[in-house]
Amino acid sequence: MTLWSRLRSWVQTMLRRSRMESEMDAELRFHIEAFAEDLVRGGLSRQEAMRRARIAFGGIERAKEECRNERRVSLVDSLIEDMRFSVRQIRRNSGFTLAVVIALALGTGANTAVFSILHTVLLRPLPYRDPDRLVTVWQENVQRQQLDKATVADFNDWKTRNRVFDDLAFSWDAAYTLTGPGDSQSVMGYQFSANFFSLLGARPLLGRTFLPEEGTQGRDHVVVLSYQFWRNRFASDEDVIGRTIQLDGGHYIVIGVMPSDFGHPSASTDIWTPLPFPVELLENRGLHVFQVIAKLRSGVSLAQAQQELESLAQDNARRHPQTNQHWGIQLKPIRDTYTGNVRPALWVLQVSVLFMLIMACANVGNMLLARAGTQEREVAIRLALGASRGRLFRQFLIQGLTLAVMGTGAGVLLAWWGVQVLPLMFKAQLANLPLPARASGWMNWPVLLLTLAITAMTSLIFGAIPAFHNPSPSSETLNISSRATIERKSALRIRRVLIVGQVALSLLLLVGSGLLIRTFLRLQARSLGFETDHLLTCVFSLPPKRYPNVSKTGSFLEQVLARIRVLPGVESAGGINTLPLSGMDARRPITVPGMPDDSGQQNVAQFRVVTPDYFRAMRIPLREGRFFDDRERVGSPPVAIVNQKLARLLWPHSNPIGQHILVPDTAIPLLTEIIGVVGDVRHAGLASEPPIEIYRPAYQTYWPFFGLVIRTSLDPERLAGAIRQAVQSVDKDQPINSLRSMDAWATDSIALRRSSMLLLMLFAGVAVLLASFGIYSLISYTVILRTHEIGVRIALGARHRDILKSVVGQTAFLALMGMAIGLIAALNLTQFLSSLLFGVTTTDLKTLLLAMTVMMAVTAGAAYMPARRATRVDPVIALRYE
Amino acid sequence: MDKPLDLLPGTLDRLIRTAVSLESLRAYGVLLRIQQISKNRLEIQQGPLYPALYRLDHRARITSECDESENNRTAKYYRLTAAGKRRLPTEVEKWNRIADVIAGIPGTTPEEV
Repeated sequence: MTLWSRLRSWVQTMLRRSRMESEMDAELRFHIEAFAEDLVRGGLSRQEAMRRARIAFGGIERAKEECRNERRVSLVDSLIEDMRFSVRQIRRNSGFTLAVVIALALGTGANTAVFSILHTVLLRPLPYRDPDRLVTVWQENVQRQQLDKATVADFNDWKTRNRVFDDLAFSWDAAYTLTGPGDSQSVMGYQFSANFFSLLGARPLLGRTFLPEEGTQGRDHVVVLSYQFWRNRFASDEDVIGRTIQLDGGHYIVIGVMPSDFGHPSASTDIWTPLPFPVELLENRGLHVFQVIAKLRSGVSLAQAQQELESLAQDNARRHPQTNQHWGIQLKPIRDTYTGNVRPALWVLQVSVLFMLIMACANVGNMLLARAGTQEREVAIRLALGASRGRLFRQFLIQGLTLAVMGTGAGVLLAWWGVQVLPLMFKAQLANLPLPARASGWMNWPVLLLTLAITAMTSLIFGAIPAFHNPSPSSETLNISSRATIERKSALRIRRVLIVGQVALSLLLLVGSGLLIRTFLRLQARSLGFETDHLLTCVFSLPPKRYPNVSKTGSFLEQVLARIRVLPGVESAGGINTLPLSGMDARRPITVPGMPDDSGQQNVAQFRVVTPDYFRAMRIPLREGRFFDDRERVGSPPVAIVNQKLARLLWPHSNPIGQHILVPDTAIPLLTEIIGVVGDVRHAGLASEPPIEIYRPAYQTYWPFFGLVIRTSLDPERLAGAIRQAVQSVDKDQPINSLRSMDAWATDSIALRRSSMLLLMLFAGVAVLLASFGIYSLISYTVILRTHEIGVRIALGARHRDILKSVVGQTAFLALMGMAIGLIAALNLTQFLSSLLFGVTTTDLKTLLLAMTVMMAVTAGAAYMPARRATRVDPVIALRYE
Repeated sequence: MDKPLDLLPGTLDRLIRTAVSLESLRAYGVLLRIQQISKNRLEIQQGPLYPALYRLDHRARITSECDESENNRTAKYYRLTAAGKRRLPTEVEKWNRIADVIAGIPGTTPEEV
């Protein structure tokens, strides 16, 4: 009953606030008037009576406040009041607030965004059964330290002789042209052995995956679609199961659709077809064709399996020295297939951004502590006027909370933007990974909440410090002049530690980004060996059904290039089987007849099939001999061009022109005459070394994939439509892909380093700003604190230099200490960057010195501004504080 | 006249309830009535009277209602609630017991302990 009536009374009071207030006013007014009336009757003047009445009553406002308190009105009231107050505070200290909000937003936003990406790319569980036991198996050329696919014979040895795997499965890629139903389209396919899907433990979204018997010749005309392909080509039609589609002219039955998070070996794979065991290659140990996955037996570690297969490889090297000498085996967790080299970059960014979050929190703490100092007098006054500690505590808490809400709110927006922008920055590197299409799929909410909680805690704890400080409303505190503040030893100590930490972290990030900048500059200074500007490229695959031999592919290329060449704006155009920078690759073992094979090792050269104008279009220089021309036709004597590197390797002391070389053109090695030497090309990008290369004419050699390079005098992208038309006017069923400029390929090839560099630069920049702001505010604070003392010193004849020294001295020491710690940290931590670096070591002296100089300059600048103010203290004004 | 006495804690609530148990009063009237009951021997702080009134009102020991005052203005009158009235006898008894105890304390001699 009492609880209920109290609650009712409270609710009524809340609802009738104004009535209660007016009643209270009337009551009190009547009280004082009535009392005064009595006094007048006692013989006093009216004015004097009113005065006495008010004095006798005591604090009217205080009585009112206590009345409200009795009704618990004040709880809500004071909350609203506190909020109003903190909004006023924010308006008044807009610079301070902006700094805190920006620091909080960057800390939370960047951290959440980067972690969301990291989680999606590296940590998210793969959609497989026991993904930790799945490995990819590679043969490794020990001499060249290069991983390669497995040969069929070696795969067969592993399958029959290992004791560490439950099962192994093989696959290879296959490009198809889909001709029906609908428009023709080139399709990225992959052929899986019949047990591949079941080994992965990947379940289809619709239908089924391969049955064991579908891995046999004749029953293999079934196809599983990727989610993307199903959505784009079949408009997510669930009735697609059982339908027949035409791939390279053959009829395939659609048996299943995979879910959107499945994409092996890459997210861009469109379809999967069964791969019957290629019996004809059973004894072949030269062609590395199989991409192999295996499932470790439960309880077998990766290292154990690695060891066992290593001994198998050694055994094979003894038994088949011709082919297997120098070949080892390498096992890798399956996730590496998808993430590749983006992994170290993401971890580096994550750690950097975490440092930034720590700095942001430290900075917010620093700024709030600084303000706490200036608020002590206010606290003391309010305590003296009778404010309760609880009330003060609440008010500071609300101030902290207001800042936290603003900062983290901005942080959420930044994180949202970040998860949309970051994947674009690493687009080329993430192409292999099946990823969520929408930003909401990227966003890692638990981490966002955690980061928000951390920063909110920071601002709350540091925000409430003035209330914890318990200044006593002593005359000492109250006597301090309004502009001065009270030095709090503990607060200052925390702030000093924060400064040391900030300088250390900033230097660390500066060194990191410095190393990446140097890497980038080194790369930029290199030449690819061809000119990427004003070059348009496209790629197509010629279905073997319609283009079974070199005369067919040759005449197609010839006609297409003839039509392209006459387009306005086109200077020259050529074709190549493996477009540089596109990731395409082809290799062939080469031997020189009569040359003693001293190493016992075959030279494997990059195998290029090109049209005569390719070199001119790419601006690859001719060093000796001649380019291909019209003389190279089907049936004419086989000729080849080599690059300088191969020429030097094979004929270091003689003229390569006119020499002969054995190249397996199809299956049989062909004796080929060298007619020219061309410049080296960094085929795999700026960071790679040029490989040894042999070029064969496209009109002599069959190849089913081609890339075109078209040199233009206009913006290359503007010719895209005309190129498409030219190809389709020759063969309307021939789709083309990757119609883009060579500059775009080049940008992609350095995107990982470039994006990492840009992001790390951003983080380092923010860190340095935060640190300098911290130093600036610490020194400003010291200066304000010591204005009086400085005034006295100046009055007594201190020189500016002395003043500066005394104000900056300690902070300079702190900064130096921070730099020393940062330097040690940098020397120990930058090794994690090493996979991103090129041409610089992690202990690069120039970078370290530069980073330290920058840090020193920034700290000096941040310290000088407030310190100069100290030297300008006017002793007259300073002393008037007394 | 003797110097007025300070109030013991809790006394003010007691006095207010006694004052309004006789008739409904305005706040100022409560003050005058208490002074009258105590024969001006108690020092009643005028300010703290109001929070005490509001507290008792909030706890439903007394209630307030608006009525026309003598000069035709609405004014707030306090009176004892039914619950307050019921509790009055027991509280008076409790009060007397405490008063007895307190009255006995200063005269205590060492022998009595």
